[in-house]
Amino acid sequence: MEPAQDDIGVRLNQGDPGALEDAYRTLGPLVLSYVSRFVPAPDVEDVLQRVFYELWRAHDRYDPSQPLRAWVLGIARKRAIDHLRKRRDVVVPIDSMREMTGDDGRETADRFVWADEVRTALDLLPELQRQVLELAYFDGYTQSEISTALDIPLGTVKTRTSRGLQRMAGLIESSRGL
Amino acid sequence: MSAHLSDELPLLLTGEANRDEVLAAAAHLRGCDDCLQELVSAVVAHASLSSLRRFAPEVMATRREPAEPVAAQSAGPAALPDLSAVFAQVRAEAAGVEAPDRRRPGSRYYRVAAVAAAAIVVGGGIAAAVALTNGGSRPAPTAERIQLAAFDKGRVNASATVSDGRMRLDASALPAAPSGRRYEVWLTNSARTRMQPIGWIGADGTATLTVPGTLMNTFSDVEVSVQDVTAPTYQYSGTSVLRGAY
Repeated sequence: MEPAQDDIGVRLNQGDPGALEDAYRTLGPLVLSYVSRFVPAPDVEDVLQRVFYELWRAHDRYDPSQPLRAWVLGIARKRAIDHLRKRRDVVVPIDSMREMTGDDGRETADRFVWADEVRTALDLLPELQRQVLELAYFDGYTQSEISTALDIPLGTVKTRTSRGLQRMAGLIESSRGL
Repeated sequence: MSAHLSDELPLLLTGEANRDEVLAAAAHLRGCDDCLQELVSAVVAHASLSSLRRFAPEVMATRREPAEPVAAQSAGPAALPDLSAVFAQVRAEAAGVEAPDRRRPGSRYYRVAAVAAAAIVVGGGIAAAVALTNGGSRPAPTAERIQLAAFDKGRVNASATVSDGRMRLDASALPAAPSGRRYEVWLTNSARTRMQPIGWIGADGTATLTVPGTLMNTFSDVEVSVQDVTAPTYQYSGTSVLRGAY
């Protein structure tokens, strides 16, 4: 079990260097996914290092009452933009820059924060409920197809899906502590 | 009033309900507060999952990958890039050790500078030692070899070579780490009152780690511990298997 993000945020704010490593273990995959969307593959590790070093340098400016993942993604967004602007030797896809800095502003970073909250909520569901939701929402199965694939009655699929959605809603609406 | 809709709500949201089912559900929902509240919750979850799938599918993909056995990982948990140099820098800063360079360790420029500084410090230190023993007649060697002997719970020996700010450690004689455990490399002082983690040993028993020369100069020994990577907090486990002075 990873240390809760709230705990990591408090320790980071207090200057505990171990909290930075915990933050990397917990949020590294999210930041890696986000940065990889915009930054050329050979530069991803470079940007990742900048992001997490900046977390340390700016740790006393982090407000532990705010979600850690949102703060981290905000820094990742800035560093990715800086990196793309400095890369004068390559052609940066204009759509990539527009998505990060254009009309939708922080939308992509915000969606990643939300996505991570949803993913975390999904991980907290009982295995049987998570399984049917993953098949429905990420593999595109209908309820009947899930019934066939898992060899369980259709009514059971419906019940697990319904209860999974109800439980997820509660987790998402109180997602600050996830 | 017809039966409650609980188990039918997902079908309404995913478009799997037919026209008659949709119209019947609408009629029921207009008169049933309980089902209406359940629908609200279902919409929240449905919208969230749909957004994740549509706008950030890679976030889902990172968590859905099968967990790689710990012993098979080459660098850090979850196959993330190895940021041990950054963490070493941060721990050195937190401990009040003068940083080798105030530039950010994330930049390639930093890495080049750190490697150069390490080469100067390590190479210079060794050159001075050689000069004392050989009257300065030999050119300065470019690498330092560190012998690591079995220590604490350890039963085998190993060795490391430090050159150009990189430590290459061969501990392939160690047995494979048990499930949930990994070998971690530390710098320590002789009294073992200060310990600085610098990286993990891979599944093949070797490690190549970035170690700034200024950091090495603040310690005197290399130690290898067995760490529980599933522990909720990160700290020295108290169990070591190798140790050697430099």
